[in-house]
Amino acid sequence: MGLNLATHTRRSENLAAAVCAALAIGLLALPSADRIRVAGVLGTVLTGPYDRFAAFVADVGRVRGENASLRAEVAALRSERESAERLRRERDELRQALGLLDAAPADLVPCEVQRRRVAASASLILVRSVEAVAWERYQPVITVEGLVGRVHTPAGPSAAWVELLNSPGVGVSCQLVRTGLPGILHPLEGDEFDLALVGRDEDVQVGDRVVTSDVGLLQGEAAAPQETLPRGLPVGVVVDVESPPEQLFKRIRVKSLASFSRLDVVFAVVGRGDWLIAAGAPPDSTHAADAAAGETAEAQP
Amino acid sequence: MSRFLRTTLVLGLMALLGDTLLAPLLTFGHIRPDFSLIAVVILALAEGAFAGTVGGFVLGLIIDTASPDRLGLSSLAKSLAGFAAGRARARFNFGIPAVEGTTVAILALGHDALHLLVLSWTGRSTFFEPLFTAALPSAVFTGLVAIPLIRAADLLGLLNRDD
Repeated sequence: MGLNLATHTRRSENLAAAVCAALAIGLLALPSADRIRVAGVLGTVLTGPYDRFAAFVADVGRVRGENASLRAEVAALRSERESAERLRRERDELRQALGLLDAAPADLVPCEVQRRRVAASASLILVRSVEAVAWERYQPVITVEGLVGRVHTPAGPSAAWVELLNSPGVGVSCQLVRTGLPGILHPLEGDEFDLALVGRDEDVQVGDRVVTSDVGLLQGEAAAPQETLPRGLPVGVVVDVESPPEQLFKRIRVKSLASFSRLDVVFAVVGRGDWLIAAGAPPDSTHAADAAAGETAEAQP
Repeated sequence: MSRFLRTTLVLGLMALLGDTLLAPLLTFGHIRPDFSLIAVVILALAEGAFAGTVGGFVLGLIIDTASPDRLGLSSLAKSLAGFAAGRARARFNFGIPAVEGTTVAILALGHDALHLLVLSWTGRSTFFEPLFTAALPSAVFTGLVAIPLIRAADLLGLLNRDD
């Protein structure tokens, strides 16, 4: 390097001092607005890279701190989840001991969708099974994704009309998996539903999973209770939650897991079972999906 | 890499890291060490008055960008401090910590006095009260902090005793 500022005469040193002092005084003498503008430009050139690097280092430090606290939180949540699982199993064992739980497993009978009838009053599909089925009114019908409807009218030993969940006027007793809050599911349009009668102060979050509840639903004051669906059949996921100030209940929009526009093979649920629990397994929509998928595999030649 | 560039880089880094990371930890009220001034003094002792003046101007300019209303003030004070330190190095007795510390303290006091003079002249500060309550103790503190740093620079071979 040819650059060497160490060997200078006194004259050049004096000159450098004079130039630097003149420049500095010139900067000091600038009008305020110009000074700020010049400082901005100089800051971008002189300190910008260092500032960005310092900010990056600070960010890394902050992220490391956050990671440490998140790890601790994850560990605590895992521990809580394990104890919740234990409590859930104990609760189910107690319910079973008291005869409150129908632990007999349900069977899934694969059915082919043969016809669809869409009317102003109801959306129905005609399903036909390979084997004879003991059809019952309100027997649930599901896909690998989740609940699609319930048997409306048997049409022979191996066929039945199924009322789809999005049929006008359908109300299904449901509950949220995370909190156990009950609500009534009503169709809105397409694959979207309204989960009604959930109090405005209740804890509901977008992403909460909705499953069927075995709590009976009374529609109208003098009505007889409908036959309930088994508890825990996957239905949908909360996609929007509002708490209108003038209403007592939340406005909860639920998107169904199953698609009603592409129904090809469905499964009639024979027997009840309890789909929310399965011998210690955590409640999960994959429970039904796995069972249904297994049946599909068996049904295929 | 030439010794000049190495010295400048090391001292620039020392000034930046010292003022941004260490100084906040060593601040007591208005009293804080001026690491950039120490870097300018070491640069002047190592490379002479020319390098000290220019280095002081550039470091001062960097500091000034943080307070645009005083743009030019730190450049002026630090370039003059660098010039003075460079001129003093011929008479500087290397290796005696008390001399090194006192020299830096005197330069720091002059540097801060010039600051206060300009600020009081423009009506943004008084002169004597901050001179005795902040500038003087800060200068002493800067001198004390400078002693190990000048010793370290000497051990690293940054100070040019042969000039």
